[in-house]
Amino acid sequence: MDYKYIEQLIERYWQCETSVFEEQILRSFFSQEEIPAHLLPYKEVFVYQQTQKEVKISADFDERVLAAIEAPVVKARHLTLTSRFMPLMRAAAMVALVITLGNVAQRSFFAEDSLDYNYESYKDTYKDPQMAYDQLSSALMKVSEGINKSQSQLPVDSIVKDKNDQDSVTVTE
Amino acid sequence: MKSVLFILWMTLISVSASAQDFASRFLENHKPDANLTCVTISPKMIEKVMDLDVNDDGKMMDMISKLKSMQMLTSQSNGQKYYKEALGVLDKNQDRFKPFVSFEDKSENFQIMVRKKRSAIIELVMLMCENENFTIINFTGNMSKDFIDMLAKSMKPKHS
Repeated sequence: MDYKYIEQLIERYWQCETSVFEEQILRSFFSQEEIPAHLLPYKEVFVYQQTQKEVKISADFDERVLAAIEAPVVKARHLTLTSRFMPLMRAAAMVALVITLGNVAQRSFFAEDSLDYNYESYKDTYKDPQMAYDQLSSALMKVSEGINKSQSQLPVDSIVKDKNDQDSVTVTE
Repeated sequence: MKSVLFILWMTLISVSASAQDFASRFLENHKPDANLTCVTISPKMIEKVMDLDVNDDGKMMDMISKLKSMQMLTSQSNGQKYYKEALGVLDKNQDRFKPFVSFEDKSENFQIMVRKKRSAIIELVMLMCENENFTIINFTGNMSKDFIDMLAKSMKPKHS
């Protein structure tokens, strides 16, 4: 059998000069069972092309590829004003808590030194210290008078007992 | 957890809140009341008083040095009514004020209450009602037993 034509086609194939039809002839030739020995090395190339042509993608290919490349869905979350400022409020609450704790601790530890009255709200009636002194003296005298008045009506040592024990004492004339 | 923290915080705030003295509380309940006259001497004024050069053998100054402030409320009418109301305020604050001495007769009533912190008296309140005249004298400061002794002796008749 003369394989001159096939050899020419192969020669032209390697020169990239064959047409699609001629390449089809080559593939058909090499798909036969019996191939001459000197052409056998080329068989694999054309059989491979033929078999690869028949390879088709599976029916679920599109689905699988899309599943692999599809971007994850990001759900939009509605942020309220409260939730937006929550970290800030938490920080402020912590600061306030620490300040309050510090304040309480200071008041507890130094209770002897500081009284818990709101003196800032006091508005002095007098601008003259002498008048303030007179008023203070008068008030102290009134309290003293009151203590003495009750003392004079009480049994001996009752006022001392009163001061020591902090018992209430009532005198009725 | 949040509610626990909130309750803790509110408790701390209430503990740490500045307190009012008795006269301020009473006055707040009677605002506005033209019958009541209030005399206030603040800690700053007491400091100025302490700088005065007064010839009183130092006894009065010694007593004033133990005081931090004074408030005095007076009224020349409705004395009985105010006195009862003041006693009502004291009743509501029984944990705060403890009775010290009291006196009562037909024309005059008075009551002295004290607020103590540890061993010291930090507030002394005297309520007085004489006929229709009503007076609250309210001292704050650091008043010890010696202060009360000194105060009692300061008006004691010399022959007794």
